[in-house]
Amino acid sequence: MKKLDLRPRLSARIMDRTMKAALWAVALAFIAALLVVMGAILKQGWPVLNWGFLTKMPETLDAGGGIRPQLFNSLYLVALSLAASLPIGIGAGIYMAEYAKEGRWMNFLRLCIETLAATPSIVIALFGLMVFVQALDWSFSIRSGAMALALLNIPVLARVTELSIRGVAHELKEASYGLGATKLQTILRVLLPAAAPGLLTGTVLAAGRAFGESAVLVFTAGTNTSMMSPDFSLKAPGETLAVHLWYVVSDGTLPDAREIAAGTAAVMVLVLLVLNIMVRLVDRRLKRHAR
Amino acid sequence: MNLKTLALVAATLGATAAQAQTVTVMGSTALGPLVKRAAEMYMKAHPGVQIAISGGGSMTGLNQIAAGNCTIGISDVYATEDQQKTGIQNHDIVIEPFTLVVNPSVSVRNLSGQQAEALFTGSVSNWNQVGGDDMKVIRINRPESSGTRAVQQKTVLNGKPFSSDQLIQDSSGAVMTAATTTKGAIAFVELDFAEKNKGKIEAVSYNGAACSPENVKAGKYPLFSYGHAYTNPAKADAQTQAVAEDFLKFILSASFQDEVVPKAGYMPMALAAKLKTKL
Amino acid sequence: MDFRNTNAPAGPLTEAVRPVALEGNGPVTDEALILPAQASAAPLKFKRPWALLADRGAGTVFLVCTLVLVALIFSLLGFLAWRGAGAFVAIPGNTGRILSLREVFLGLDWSPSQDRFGVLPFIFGSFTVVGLSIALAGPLGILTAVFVTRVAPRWMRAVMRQAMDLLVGIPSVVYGIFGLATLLPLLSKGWLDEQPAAGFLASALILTVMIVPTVVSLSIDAFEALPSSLDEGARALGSTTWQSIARVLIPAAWPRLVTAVVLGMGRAIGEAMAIQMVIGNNPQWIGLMRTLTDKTPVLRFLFTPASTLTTELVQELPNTAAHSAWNNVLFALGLLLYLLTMGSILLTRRLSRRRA
Repeated sequence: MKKLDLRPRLSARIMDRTMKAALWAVALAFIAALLVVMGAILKQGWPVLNWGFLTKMPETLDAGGGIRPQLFNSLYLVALSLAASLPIGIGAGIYMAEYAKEGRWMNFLRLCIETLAATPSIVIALFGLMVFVQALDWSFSIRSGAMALALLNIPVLARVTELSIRGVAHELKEASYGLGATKLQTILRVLLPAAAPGLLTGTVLAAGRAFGESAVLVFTAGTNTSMMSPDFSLKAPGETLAVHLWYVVSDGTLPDAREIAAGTAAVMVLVLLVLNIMVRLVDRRLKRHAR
Repeated sequence: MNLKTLALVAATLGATAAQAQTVTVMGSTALGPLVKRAAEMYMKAHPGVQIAISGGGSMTGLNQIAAGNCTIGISDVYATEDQQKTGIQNHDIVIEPFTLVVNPSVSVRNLSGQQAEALFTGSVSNWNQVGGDDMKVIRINRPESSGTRAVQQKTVLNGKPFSSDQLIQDSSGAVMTAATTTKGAIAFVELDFAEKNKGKIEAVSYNGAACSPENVKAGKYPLFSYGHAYTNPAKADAQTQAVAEDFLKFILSASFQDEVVPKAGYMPMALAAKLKTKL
Repeated sequence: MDFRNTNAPAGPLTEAVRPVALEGNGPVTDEALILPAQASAAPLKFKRPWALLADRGAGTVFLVCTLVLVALIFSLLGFLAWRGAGAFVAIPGNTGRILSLREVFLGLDWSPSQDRFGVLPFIFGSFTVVGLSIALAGPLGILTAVFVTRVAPRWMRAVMRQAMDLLVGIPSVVYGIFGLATLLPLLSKGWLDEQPAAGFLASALILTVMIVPTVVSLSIDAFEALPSSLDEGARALGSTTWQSIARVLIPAAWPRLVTAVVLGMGRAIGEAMAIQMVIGNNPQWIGLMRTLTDKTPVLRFLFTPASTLTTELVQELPNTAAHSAWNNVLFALGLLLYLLTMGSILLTRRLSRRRA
């Protein structure tokens, strides 16, 4: 009896090999791009990167400044804005996934939310300037910056939360109801934990955006810092690493502008790396629990 | 957890909603570093005072101070008549010299007033028309609403419109980066940039006079303006206004003007006694 | 209360586990399921009132969150609309002349200092830049996500994930500076014989690099959320990896993939900081392109200093006098940007529905 060849057609196998090679090429191109950008940043910033850089106060006119207050402000603002935006974003996402009646209004709302997520940050910046800095008379301060950043992130968080919760397998939800849980219990103890990886991605995106945002903060948190560091006061002016980077490059009159800029960028990348590793560890634990 | 965090945030933010005593400064990015340095020194000497600085450009500064939205508005050019009608008060704080710069690939080192004007209005588009090599002229300018560009338009172009064949960069720093890496580039920047980037960029003399404090003082070099700090006493509360006035007095104090101002690339106001400028 | 979620993507597995109404009880309700529990477990009775109360309260809390979001959206829109309307309608506080819709939205000439406010150059510019970058980043992002979830070895997945998350966090300023100091000279030396390379291509390249990580991150989530039975089923039927990817996985994940691209596009549309350093910022680019006859049309298109809605806004909006015609038109531009974004999202949704 002839042996049956159950393998896929030759054309399909060739396609498979080709596409796999193409995908490898794409992935490697990315890693290469990342390395080039990282390499350029680290190479230029190397002369400045030392413990002193992280702990010294900045110099405005002379060389040799540090980034201590900006580093603190960056982290402080991310924490504050997440504290403000996570509850509202996740709450809204839960409502839209679990409570809202479907219909034209809901679809219109979703459209508005996605569009808001796409609003250029300069519009949020001016809105923040008018509302927080001027109307509420908060001036350029940490609190104005934190609220503006929260405005930026709430739409993204809401949308990602909604999608993640909807993506949870129905069997889980139905099993929970079958065991007699209330809606709230189901949401808190079954859906949210199951949707956790998606929520984590959303949070990481939001935190990353808050950390790297400069346009919004120039107009709400200002371009200088308090003389004390760390300064937890919400009223203090709050220049962050991203704003400092932009400022040093735009201004260009610092004798060591290139080095400070590259050093600031390098520190930002390193902080992100550390935060990302921490987040991945959390993610792994979540996935382990889910299984 | 949601509710608790929300309540905590609301409490923290709401509790501190009392009237802010911060002095808010907005405006020119050229004057930014100088004012930042002054603010640092002032805040160290007067703990408890907060001075918050944001940029936005000269025009932003003027608009915001005219509307009473900040305490001090800094600008490279005078306010318009309409803005002055709102009752803002001017304090000239420094002299800002500007200079024309070219990419090292360009061999021209001096331009007459006519040539400079022609270069920017577009009548001249190749360097060989002004004594250089056969190379296209690449103009790199600031946006229409920049104070530096306003100075450029008044002094170099004599009010004529810019050529539409230009590259625009948002900040002088970005203009410099573009100019240092583009063959045939010409730009108009604060003197400090030319000095800090020697080797990567070449300064160009204007009508035979190089940009230097001496030439400015002697009246031989016309490309400069005053740095203005405007306040709006009518719209600010008394306490903040008092602090703002004291801060400006500090900037105009002899020690600051003599030691810090030259470091930022500017000239002290004291040299202005004999100078004439409409800017 | 009918708890069947009718809006999740329907699939073979979902159909299989749709609850069957208990005989004689009509539609399946919460109460119908609670009763058996109450009957069999006495301790539950004590928790009941508290849990029900919390349940009701929670619904309200989540509703409030949504209302905050709605308030946010509408106050921002209102802000834009109110200030933008001032360009076309006499509003107290206006200092400039009233413009006509036609001269603004159909005008090709933007020279505010000469009282001309045509915004078409910015609209075309935005479309071009976003279109180019989506065309590059969409396929690139989805394929990379495919690679990470199906083709890459285990250890590499973590590395790629890390790389993506890192790239997402790099601030726009860094990309802008990188573009200005490294990419532009590179393009200039390579393609243009040392002429400036600022323009659409440089912007599209920078934008692509900026949005691909977002697309990849969310696409990976989309693929990982698919039940493994889909892939296993396809393989059991004898398909190659690529066949199962192209014919099963991508169509199955399509709605979430489209959302990933849409959110990435959102970032592209709203991005200004990075592009403004490499685009040249010339509102008169249309006229300029016509005059630069020393280059071929393709090169002219890719390398003329141009301008988009966002770069114009970021450079001019804070600097213009409030309530002047210039300022009002810029706010109208902001509103236009919002509406264009909405339109492109709708379009993308329509496309996604057809596939699924």
